Parts: sequence; structure tokens; C-alpha cells
Amino acid sequence: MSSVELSSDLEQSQREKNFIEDICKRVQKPSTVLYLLKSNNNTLGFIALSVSSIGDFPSLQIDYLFVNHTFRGRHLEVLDNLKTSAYLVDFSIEVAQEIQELAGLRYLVLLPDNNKLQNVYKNMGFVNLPKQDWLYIKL
Amino acid sequence: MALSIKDNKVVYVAPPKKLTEKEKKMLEDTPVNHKLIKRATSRKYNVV
Repeated sequence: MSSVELSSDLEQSQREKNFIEDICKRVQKPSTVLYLLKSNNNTLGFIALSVSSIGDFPSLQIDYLFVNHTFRGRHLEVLDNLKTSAYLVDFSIEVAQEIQELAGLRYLVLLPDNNKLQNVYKNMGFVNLPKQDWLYIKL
Repeated sequence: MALSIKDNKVVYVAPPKKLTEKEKKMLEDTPVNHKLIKRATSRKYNVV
């Protein structure tokens, strides 16, 4: 994989390293697809997607979304002034729409890693399923 | 994300398979955010 810049926090960076190693194993299987976002030879981040279901509803699942440390929290002109994470979520909506008819997808779903991220994703348009940590966007 | 760490190991967390009737209804009754989807699908992405 292209260069990855982890968090400056030691504990968080170890967590990210573990997740990335796991995702690299998962993308060896056809069920998970990894998309890299690059600009001017810089890797801004990546997103791993797989088809899943919530209840009986076929869904596209965001397995993991990672933004390189340098670009976190930054609105980038090259990304239509969006943050990298929002751009990657928009991209996942585009992917979901493209395969919606083929796979009958109904939702884009994700499980935020922590409570702070819950609010970040809600601000992007995700809705919280009551009493669950899972968030979704209806397609 | 669907990855979590438990006992120092990365575990994969799947979405709930069993939903209550209330949860199903909420999912079904959620309106499609057309503005969000239009914004997301009208862009040319530089993703590989």
C-alpha cells in the first residue's frame, strides 16, 4: 500500500496499525474492496467496502475508513473543499448507487469506532439506529 | 467502520441480523436524503 501516516498518539497509532493490517488481509478476499484516494502522488486516505446486510436489508458496509494524519480535519480544495473523510463517504454513496440495482442495496452502513466519530458521521448525513451503534444512510 | 479491538485483537463486527419491528420500521420509514445522494453522485472521483 502507498505511504500511510498514522496518528501521532502512540496508542491510537497502534490501533490504526492493527486495523490496517487486518484490512490488508481482508482485501485478499473478493468480499472486501479497498479504494485509495490520492492527490499529486500523496495518499490522502482510503476506504474499504463490502456488501453486507442489516437485518434482511442488503447494504454496502464501510469496513474501514482511514485518513492520513497530515490531512485529518483539513478541507482540501482538490476535494471540492470537503474533508477527506467526507469525500470518501460521498464516494461510497456513489459506489452504492452504482451497484444498487444489481445487488438490491438499500442502505450504506457503518459502525463508528468511538462516540466522537458517531457525531462526525451524523453530521455527514448518517442516521442512528436506536439502541445500536450502527449508523446508516438510506439509498 | 466494522472493525473493533477486543482482547488486543482486531475483530470484525457485522451489522445486526435480527432487528426489532420498531427498528425495521425506522429503517423503512427513513426518507432518502436526495440532496446528499445527488451531491455524492454528481462528482467525478479520483479514487483508485
